[in-house]
Amino acid sequence: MRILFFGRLGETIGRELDLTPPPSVNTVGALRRLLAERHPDADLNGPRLRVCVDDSVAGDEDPIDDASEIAFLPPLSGG
Amino acid sequence: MAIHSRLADTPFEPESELAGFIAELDGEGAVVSFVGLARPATKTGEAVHGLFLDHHPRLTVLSLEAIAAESERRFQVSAVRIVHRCGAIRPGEPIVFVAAASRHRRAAFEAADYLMDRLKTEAMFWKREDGPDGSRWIEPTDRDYADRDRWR
Repeated sequence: MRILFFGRLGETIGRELDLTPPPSVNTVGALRRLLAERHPDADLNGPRLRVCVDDSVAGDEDPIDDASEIAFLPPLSGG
Repeated sequence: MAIHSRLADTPFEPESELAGFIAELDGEGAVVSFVGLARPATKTGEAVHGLFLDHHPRLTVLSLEAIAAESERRFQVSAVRIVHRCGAIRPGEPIVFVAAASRHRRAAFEAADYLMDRLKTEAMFWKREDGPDGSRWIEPTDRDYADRDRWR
């Protein structure tokens, strides 16, 4: 599974991770918590953080079993 | 309906964009355009050597298209163009160009104003300012959100 990070998150974690999460990590929220544990410096819990699963906005409870790409989008800066 | 949104990863010329926009019109009587330029200083006055606008490979251009389409739905405009830079931008370079055309001027003024307020808060970009004291990532200000909320 390809995981993309943008803005400040991309700088902290890296632009892209190729990750096969353990079977218990099967939702957006579980993945977010796993990444937050591995990258304590990255702000993965802020209220304005958005996650897209295969280009669609997703919530913490949404499944990621069939996802090929997950994008973590920190608060937008605007143009 | 002529709606164009483009993400530019190299510098663009606002004059050419405006000329191209006008050349494609079909009898409209009013054109309003706006150009946003990279400032050489932060809000608090520190020097900025450059900006970096990070973007998503697909969703960023979709966000521009959605904002352009919504302006056409809300106002009596018949042509809209958005050009937005991404990547490394030097102070003084254009970051954004918007233009709106309508039969009469009011709709074009309102649409251009609306486009910029939405772009400043909802276009999918992450902006980093690089200066002599390091780099920092920027978020919309309360003022930017208040400007956007005028249109709710």
